[in-house]
Amino acid sequence: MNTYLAILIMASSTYLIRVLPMILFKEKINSPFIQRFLHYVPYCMLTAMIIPGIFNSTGSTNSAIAGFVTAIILGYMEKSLITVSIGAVIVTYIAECLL
Amino acid sequence: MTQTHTIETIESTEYTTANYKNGLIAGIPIGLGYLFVSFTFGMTAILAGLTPYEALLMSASNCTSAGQLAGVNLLVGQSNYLELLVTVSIINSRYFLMSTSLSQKLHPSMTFLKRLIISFGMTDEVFAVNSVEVKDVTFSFFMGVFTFPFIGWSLGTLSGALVDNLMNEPMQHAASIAMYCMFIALVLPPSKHHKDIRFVVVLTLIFRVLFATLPFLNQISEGYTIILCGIFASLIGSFRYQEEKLT
Repeated sequence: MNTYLAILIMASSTYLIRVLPMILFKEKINSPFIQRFLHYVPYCMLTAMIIPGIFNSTGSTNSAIAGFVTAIILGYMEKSLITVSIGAVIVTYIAECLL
Repeated sequence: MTQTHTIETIESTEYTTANYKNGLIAGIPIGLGYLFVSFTFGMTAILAGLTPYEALLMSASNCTSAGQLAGVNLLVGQSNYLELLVTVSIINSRYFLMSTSLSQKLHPSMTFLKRLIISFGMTDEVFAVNSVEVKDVTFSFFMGVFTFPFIGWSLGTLSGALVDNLMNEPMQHAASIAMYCMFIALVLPPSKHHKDIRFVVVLTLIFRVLFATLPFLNQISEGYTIILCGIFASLIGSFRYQEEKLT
């Protein structure tokens, strides 16, 4: 495969997937049921991506657990995105070095 | 008499004002996370035989880690263009749902052209922040959120492609958890305060466990599993909480 053509195909398909709903759903969908459904979608998608993905993200499950627990604690304390990320990364790094 | 737009509604004090600056600030952690993740992608791309420029081009034009990784693997594996198209589309199919979801949350000032533009930046994290941080998504806020992620994703890829083994292994591993932590930071506070969100989140977790353990379901690929669990949980939540006020 020609690399540049492959990149073009990738970029086009990615963009198409993203833009199609923006073109199709121009009006506000008036059904309260659908509005509610779409309101929950981001939270569910994120959750589905976190678990079990987070446990496979680092080299070992143990360091991932350490980072995960840290993120849960900091997240529950409603710390900022940066605080949660950096805090968990530091803990994970320490765990990686120790284990 | 013309009515001026109020970008922020009065009841929902937990939302930020939707302007470019606030978007920029909200996008900083995403940008940092992307720096890390795209760095490893850059290294992967080089290992796969791409040039640094090709890696940069791929990242700047796609802005998606999962799809790019799949694409690189297919490039190396001597696949064909059709398989590439189909695979990347399926892996990215969750963006369809995200765009649909966000299309309902757009500020009236969002013209058709602006929709076309922001669609380019509809990444997982950018979508998530736009969904959660403001009440109505304006063009300036979205572009603000997308700014650092785009720079981070591109720059990180290029850096990873140009530099060999700058980070030692523990550092790489620790850095790769950053994105997930961002997700956690986005999901936890609303779950804490709103029982309907808490419900759908827990339900999603239960579904993921089911999909991981039950015989037929555990054969389903990751991309589809995410979509199915997300959709089912959202659906059930919508049935159950018909009376609950939307935040």
